[in-house]
Amino acid sequence: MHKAMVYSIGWHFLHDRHAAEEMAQEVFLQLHTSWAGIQSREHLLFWLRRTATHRAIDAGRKRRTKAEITLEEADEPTMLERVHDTLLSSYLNRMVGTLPDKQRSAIILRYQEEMEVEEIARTLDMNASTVKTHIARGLEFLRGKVSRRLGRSE
Amino acid sequence: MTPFEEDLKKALAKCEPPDGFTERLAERIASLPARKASPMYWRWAAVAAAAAILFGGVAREHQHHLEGEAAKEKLLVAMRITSSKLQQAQQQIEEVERKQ
Amino acid sequence: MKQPFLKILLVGLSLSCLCVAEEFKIPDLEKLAQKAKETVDVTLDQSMLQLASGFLSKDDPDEAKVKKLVAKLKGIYVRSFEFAREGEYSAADVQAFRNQLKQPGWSRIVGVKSVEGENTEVYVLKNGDQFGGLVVLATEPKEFTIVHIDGPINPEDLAELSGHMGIPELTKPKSKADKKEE
Repeated sequence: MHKAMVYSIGWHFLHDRHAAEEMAQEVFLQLHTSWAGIQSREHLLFWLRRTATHRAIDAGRKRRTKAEITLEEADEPTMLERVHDTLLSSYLNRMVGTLPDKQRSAIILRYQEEMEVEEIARTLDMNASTVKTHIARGLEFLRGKVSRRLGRSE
Repeated sequence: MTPFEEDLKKALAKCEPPDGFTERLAERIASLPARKASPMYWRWAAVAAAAAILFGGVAREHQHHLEGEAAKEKLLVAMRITSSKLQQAQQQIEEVERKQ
Repeated sequence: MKQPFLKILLVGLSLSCLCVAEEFKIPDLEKLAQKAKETVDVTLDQSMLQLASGFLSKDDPDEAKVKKLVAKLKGIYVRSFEFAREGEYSAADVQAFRNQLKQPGWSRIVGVKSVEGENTEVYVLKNGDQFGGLVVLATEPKEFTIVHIDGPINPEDLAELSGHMGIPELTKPKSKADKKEE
């Protein structure tokens, strides 16, 4: 269902259920007024992914009232977070939320939506090599976090 | 895809919005200024209605799946905490025995 | 017996108890949660345990172990609090749990204290020859954890989870006898 896709882009980007729902609602409201321009099922999918991603980036920027947590400044998890975070999925999910906007978008579209690099490039208005760089850097950061936290290697 | 990328794909699995999302959206659409209903508009309304009927059952099953997965994760957390505290006790006992 | 922990466990259980077991309940700990910087709160009653168990994989060795462990349990309850400073919980908070565990049927089988202030106590509930429950009470200067497993749980099975589920395995230190032989 498209609503799960749009909501999930918001959730994985913003890590705030209320903000993610608000973003998703805005996307579908915009779709409602733009419906006449949708030409096909494929166009609808492209339109939703693109609009959702751009709205998530905008929403993330607006919400940043406190200092942005950079990769270097991210808090070391507490002992209890380490117990939680042995659940790899929840830990990875959290770490994706600390990536810079463009890396985060590229990673979410690649691994949530399973899009190819060229599709991601069209969605984010970037060239393919830039998308590849964002994905590679995002993966490198995430792998580093996982191996330090859980003692795992690929 | 590498095993790590498979883990990442799993971590970024899609999730359903909170209950009532469709209803709240419908209310917001209904409150928009009235406009001339185009054929495309009726098509959208029909698609939305069909989707709600068709996917209602699927949504309930998906909800059960989500609840089950959440319960499983809580159970695994509980087991990890318990096991680690018992290990801690064992470690302390062995420390005492080493000193004796 | 392979581990000293298990020796202590069995010595502690050598006296069988025919008393009527009393129910143990974790009270509302909201006041501690408000002071904690991190809280883990797990409440799984029998129906939730069955639901969770249904989603555990038989093919994953860790999950299969847990599935077998929880098959007959009535509930699992965990409250764990991590505080920013020492002194955020009191000895009275801990004693309230110990008082419950003085009820008939409950026996303390492990009580360990360290100089760093890490204390761990393990209590089991015996119904005749059967285990009826387990409570782990672990305190550190900035952490307080209580685990209650309600139902027939064998602590030996729990200890077997060591080395699995992301928890590093303890290596057994050499005993004095082992060292003498070398």
